[in-house]
Amino acid sequence: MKSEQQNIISGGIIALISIIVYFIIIPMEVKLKPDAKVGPEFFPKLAVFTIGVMALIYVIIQVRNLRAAQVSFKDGLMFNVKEYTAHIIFIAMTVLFLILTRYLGFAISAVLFLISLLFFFGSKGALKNIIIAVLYGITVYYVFSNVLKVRFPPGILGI
Amino acid sequence: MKKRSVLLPVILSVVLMFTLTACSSTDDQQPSAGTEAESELKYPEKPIELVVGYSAGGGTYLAAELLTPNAAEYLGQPINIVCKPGAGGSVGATYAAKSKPDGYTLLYATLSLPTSLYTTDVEYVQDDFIGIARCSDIAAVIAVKSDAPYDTAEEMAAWAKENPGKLTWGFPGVGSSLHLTGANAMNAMGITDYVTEVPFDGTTESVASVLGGHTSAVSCFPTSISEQHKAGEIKIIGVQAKERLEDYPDTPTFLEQGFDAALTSWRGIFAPKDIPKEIIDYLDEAFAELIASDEYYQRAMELGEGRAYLNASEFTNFYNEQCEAVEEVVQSLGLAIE
Amino acid sequence: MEISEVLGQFVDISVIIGLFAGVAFGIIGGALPGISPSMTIALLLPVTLYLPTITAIATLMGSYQGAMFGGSVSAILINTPGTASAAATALDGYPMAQKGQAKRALQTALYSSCLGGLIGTIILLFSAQFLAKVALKFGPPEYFGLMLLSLTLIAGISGKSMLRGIISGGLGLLFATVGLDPIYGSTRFTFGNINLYDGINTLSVFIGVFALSEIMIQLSLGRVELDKKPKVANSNTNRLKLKEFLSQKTNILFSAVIGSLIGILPGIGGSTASFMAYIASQKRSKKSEEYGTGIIEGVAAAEAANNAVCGGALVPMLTLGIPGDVVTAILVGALISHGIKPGPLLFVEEIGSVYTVYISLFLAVIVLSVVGTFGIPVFSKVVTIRKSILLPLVFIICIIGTYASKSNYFDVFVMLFMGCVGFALRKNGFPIPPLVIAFVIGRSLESNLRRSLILDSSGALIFFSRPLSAVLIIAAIVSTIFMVRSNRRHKRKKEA
Repeated sequence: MKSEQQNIISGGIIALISIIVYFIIIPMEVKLKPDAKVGPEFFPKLAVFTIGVMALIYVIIQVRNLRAAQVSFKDGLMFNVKEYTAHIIFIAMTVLFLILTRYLGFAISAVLFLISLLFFFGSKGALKNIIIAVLYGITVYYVFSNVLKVRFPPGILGI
Repeated sequence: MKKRSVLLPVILSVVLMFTLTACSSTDDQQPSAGTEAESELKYPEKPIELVVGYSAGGGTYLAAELLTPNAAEYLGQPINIVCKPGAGGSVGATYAAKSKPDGYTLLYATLSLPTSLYTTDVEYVQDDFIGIARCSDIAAVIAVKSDAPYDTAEEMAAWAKENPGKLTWGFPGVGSSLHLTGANAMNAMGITDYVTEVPFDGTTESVASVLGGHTSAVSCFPTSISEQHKAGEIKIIGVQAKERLEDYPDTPTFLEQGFDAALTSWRGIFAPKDIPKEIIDYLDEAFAELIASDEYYQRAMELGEGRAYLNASEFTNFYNEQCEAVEEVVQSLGLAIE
Repeated sequence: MEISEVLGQFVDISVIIGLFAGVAFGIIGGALPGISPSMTIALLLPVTLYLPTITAIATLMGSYQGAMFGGSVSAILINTPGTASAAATALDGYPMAQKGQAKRALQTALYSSCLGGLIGTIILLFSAQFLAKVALKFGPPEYFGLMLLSLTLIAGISGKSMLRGIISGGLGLLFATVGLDPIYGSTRFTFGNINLYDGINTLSVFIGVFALSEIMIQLSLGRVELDKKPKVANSNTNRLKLKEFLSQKTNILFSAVIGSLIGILPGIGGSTASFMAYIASQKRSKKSEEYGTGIIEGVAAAEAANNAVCGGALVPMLTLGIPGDVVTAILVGALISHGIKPGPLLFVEEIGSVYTVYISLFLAVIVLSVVGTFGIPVFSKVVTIRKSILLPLVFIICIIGTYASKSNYFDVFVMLFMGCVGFALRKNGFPIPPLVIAFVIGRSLESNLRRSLILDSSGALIFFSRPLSAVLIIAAIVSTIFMVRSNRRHKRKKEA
């Protein structure tokens, strides 16, 4: 689809989010100070307002450009979810890893995670991947925890 | 040939790293033989974590570090400091409150702990902590630029009443202990309605602001302005303590000047509430000796931290009293969260 | 004490080892994302306590300069700023690496850092006391004016679409408001989570929006493409020629001056300085459109500025006893434990200590150039690794680095979120730099605005009744008008 169509969608989503934040999220999440002239809500509202207005202008300009090119909005409008399955899996894997660290400790989980990542990103060869993951994972863990004194809470297995 | 030139720097860096590890682990020495009581008590068997709710390198961190150099001698195991900064010490306190009460996680906290109970939305309550040892008790001061048209608290109060809204005073962080001590002093002088509070992001900025003439006064610790005071650029209106400070024998306290403002900022060690009594007793003894030692005293004086030891039961009582006192002050100053 | 006496004390093997070790440690600490320069120095503190004073100061200064350069190594090679102050370096550094010019980018960063650090030290040397007085004149209204000026410059680096740039910037400002309100302490967007009370961790934003979004974009290339061996760049284009470096001298000079001046102001640090220098450099340059595509001008400006900050931040520390940034705050502690008390009397009573600091800075810069030069061939090898292996390794560093900054897994989740946001923005053509800059200065911008309004209850008059803030604000307004106009003119030219 043409870039204008994509831009209209992205601009529209941003405008929508701005409206939601302004009218719903801010009253919900920003604790007001009753007698303040410039209170805690001033700046967030200003920022969101600017974003919303700019997004609307953006959408309008894109619509105009689309009309000028004599293309209807619905022409060729497509969203290929399959393009992003890899990304979704990637984020899911990471969240899983972070949950796993609580049980297996950082070092072990990191090595396992690294092995799966290496395969996921296309590195072939099980032995190669395992060696890289173990060497690198242990080294990085050692540097951060012993040299840089960063504390990693141990998991069930004690590491 | 190319491979060699790459290898050498890599080897050098690895050697460097290991050397630095060795250097900085000087406190991970072999634990010496424990005391008699230890033969029955299986504690401690591994290093003890001391949680500090502030960033590494900051004032509270440095104060906590005073305890580490010969910790193994007195406690039987080294102390490892874990920084969990955030929300003015509350993130660290939350972590400590929720940790296993097995004696391996202790909290190094300040007056900010009781303060946070009433000014911040925290998940812990007063009784989640038991005092183990108080390490220091520092008085805050109110300081102004040396060319200010007032020298004493009385003069300052008078000036404030004549010029309502013009006296601005700065402090680092809303809801922090310096905010509290400062507001308490203003209240004691009776000028709360005549002054304007200006929160800053840190002591540095609030002191710089006074030196630059943008704000009239600042609530801070004497160590933050000691050099400026010596150079004559800043004068201290009053010290918030029961007695005059050793380093400032000519500066009167607020009490002397007729104003009841003696809320001091202390630092001490806490443990989560369900910790076994035997461990409390063990730590009580061990820290008593450590803090009483000459080496600790020397280090503490050099840092400007001083020493104001209270043992476990004294400190726990003190802590509970402080919680009440702070609650009163917070309520009366309107700083409490709704 | 004569300066030659102090100089003599530096001819000592322990001092020289200290310098080299400090610089090396600083570079490594700086290069590791999550390990900030202040953390690096905090780690060295216990070691330096046992060293003789001169060695200790030399080591600490070495690691300060080293860390400021080190951040650029990972910024350039893996689009992950190792330190917040290297974020601006990534803007042109990483594209250069993508073009096969990683070594060239690293060399530019190194020598610009050294030259910038040198200029910063010279400025410190000659005008410390004068500059300290200027720094004091900056109160909340002046800080606000400065931040406003930086914000308007964002419009300038929005690239093709100013609208999209403003939206990105607005998002950055919005993210900056998360946390406790700086004036009243009310919770804003914290969703009941105490980990958000101090706001979104800057590192989560940087690493998420730069590194993670990049990893996700690379992921789109597909497994086969990622497993291919990267092409080895022509060694001729991958070198920084002396002539090229010398052509950057004005760029570096201006950027270093900007860096040290910003470093002087307490509370503002390397990241703001390097972004401002970057933007200023872009405005001044004839090649302004090429900024962000991978040119040495961008890298030189950012790196010169962030190393000049070291010299600048020491100005208020040495003359007033007020640290200019987080690192100097720790340095104050280090100096005190060696019996040197930074403050107004330092120049009068202990001029020797002042000379020690100055000389350490000079030598640190020289040592940095040596250590860096040997390190660059090693660092450059990173880009010869296949992406299928490199990206996972980088990601692990991102995670561990984000965790390391506050020992909190929450920050890692935030980093994931910001990565997705960054990815979504980039996929739709929204520029990232305005978001990052607005985020960095947003908090300072807002808190100083409101502080100023507190100081003068008569409303906005305070900004204009003070000459310095009035100048800054008018400059901000003027620059916005100019930029909107030049952008319009540009668009019209394109369409014509």
